[in-house]
Amino acid sequence: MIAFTLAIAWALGAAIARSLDPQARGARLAALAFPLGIGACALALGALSALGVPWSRGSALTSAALLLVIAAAAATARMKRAGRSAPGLEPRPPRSALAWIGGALVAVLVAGHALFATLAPPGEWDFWAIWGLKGNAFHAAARIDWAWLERPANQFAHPDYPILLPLAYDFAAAIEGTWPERQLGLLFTAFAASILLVTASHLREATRASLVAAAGALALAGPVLALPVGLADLPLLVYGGIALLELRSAAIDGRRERFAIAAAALALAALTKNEGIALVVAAAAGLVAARQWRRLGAVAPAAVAAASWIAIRSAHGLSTDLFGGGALARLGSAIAAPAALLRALGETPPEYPLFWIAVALAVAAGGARRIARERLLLVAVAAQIAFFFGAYLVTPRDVAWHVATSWPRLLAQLVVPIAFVAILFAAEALTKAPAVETPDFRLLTPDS
Amino acid sequence: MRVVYAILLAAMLVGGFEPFLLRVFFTDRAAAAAALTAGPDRAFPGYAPFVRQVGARTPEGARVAILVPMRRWSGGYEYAYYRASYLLTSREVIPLVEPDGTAHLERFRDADYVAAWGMTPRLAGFAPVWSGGGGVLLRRLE
Repeated sequence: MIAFTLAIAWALGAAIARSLDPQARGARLAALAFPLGIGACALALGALSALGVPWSRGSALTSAALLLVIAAAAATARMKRAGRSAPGLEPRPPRSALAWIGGALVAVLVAGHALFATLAPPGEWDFWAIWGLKGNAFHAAARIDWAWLERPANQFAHPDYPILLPLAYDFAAAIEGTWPERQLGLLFTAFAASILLVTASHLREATRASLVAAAGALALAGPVLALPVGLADLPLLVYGGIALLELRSAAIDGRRERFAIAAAALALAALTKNEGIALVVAAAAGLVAARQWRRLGAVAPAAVAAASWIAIRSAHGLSTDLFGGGALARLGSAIAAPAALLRALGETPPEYPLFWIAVALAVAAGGARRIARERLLLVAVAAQIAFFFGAYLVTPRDVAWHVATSWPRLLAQLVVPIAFVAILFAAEALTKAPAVETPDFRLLTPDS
Repeated sequence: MRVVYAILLAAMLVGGFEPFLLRVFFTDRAAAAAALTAGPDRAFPGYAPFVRQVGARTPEGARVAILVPMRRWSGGYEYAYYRASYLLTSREVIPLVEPDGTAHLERFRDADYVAAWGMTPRLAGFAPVWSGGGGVLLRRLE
């Protein structure tokens, strides 16, 4: 059973989360633990491969245990220091019966996902032609098989894509001692549950209303849980969502520990998918828009992670087809004649169109003051969408095909930050929450 | 604005609801599992089981060329090649058709085995070692 893998990842992630933020506890700690932990497990396998140590249950367990000891020691030290200097946490708002019901419904939906995700091996084309294929090939070689990635015949598997997700599969395979194809879906259930909890935790913190938190998690459950099992979009959504929400909160309360969590999540996003690399720039744009100049350092680890992957893939000659020969010419002609792209976008509505229309209207109806207050998230989302359009403008493939096969998934990657803003605005309008009037809301002013 | 936002929040909740996450509790899970398992191979039933059999009959490191009736890349060869690449772990899968549609039969020279599905070719220098699952596995003669 892959439960052991999940438990290892969760324990390691909890220690890492506490080492980064000693005040992380309760639902927030539980939510942060799995994504951080499975990311660390994947990186541990990458390190073993770089050191020439073949993957096995023993080497995977040993590396995870070593990381756990280091993270636990760091967490203990940080908690001792924090215990002396940090202010106590605010009391939790009381949970209403409706909030409990909402939370229970979310739990039922997550359980439904666990059932669905393990009915069969991931069946998406991009699983067995990209993400699962690489994981399986590495698992067979018991290391990152660079020769396999470099082979021209394997170009179709996009060897240039970051490999955190295949490595996460390989960690599970090493622990299980076999390629646990069907059970891999549970990683995605854990990812989805984590981001729903994270979002609820941030909504509760922002509004002091547990009902809003439950409603937010419930509204997001469908768009998050319905993302394809086996592909990197959901893990990227999770890492990106955590990073942006933690950056927003950190910009408000100024806690460096939140920036540390954001930095770690953003680095893992950059190692998950090419859009994660773009998200590093988008997050920086959000910080600049919110005049958080001094906090730009929070994106530095992610920038280093992204640059490292780009350097490694360049060293192995793994080029990306997007920017292949004639990209500038393609960009020029696409800008000169955008009709094909616009038509393709018009013909490819997002999944859950009613949800997206409501989200867009809720954000737009927030008014200039609230929109300006939330510019960190909104500018980051806008910048990321601009990157998506940029990719479509330079794509060497048929743009209609490219849009049709990617646009709903790409948009879904941003559902957490944009829906968070929409639900926050709705909550403020419905409950007269104090967020706008909070005097120390630092997004309103430069941090210098 | 309270009314507007109440409607928008309700629209988010209703519009984001995914019924299959509840239906899965009441569905025939064995049938659903069978349908989902067959999903990736629905267009070419029988091919994936054949390739799995090829995997069981070829050694690690073997170079296996894929020969199928689908000669056009987007008309099925792409699927056959990608699917075999996933199912034949630790083997080197050799495509005989490129994405631009060109056939590369000279690549038989690089193959230790030829996995031919939906056809029974006679290839100089190769001999059948197994047939079944709608295809035949040929091995290079020593």
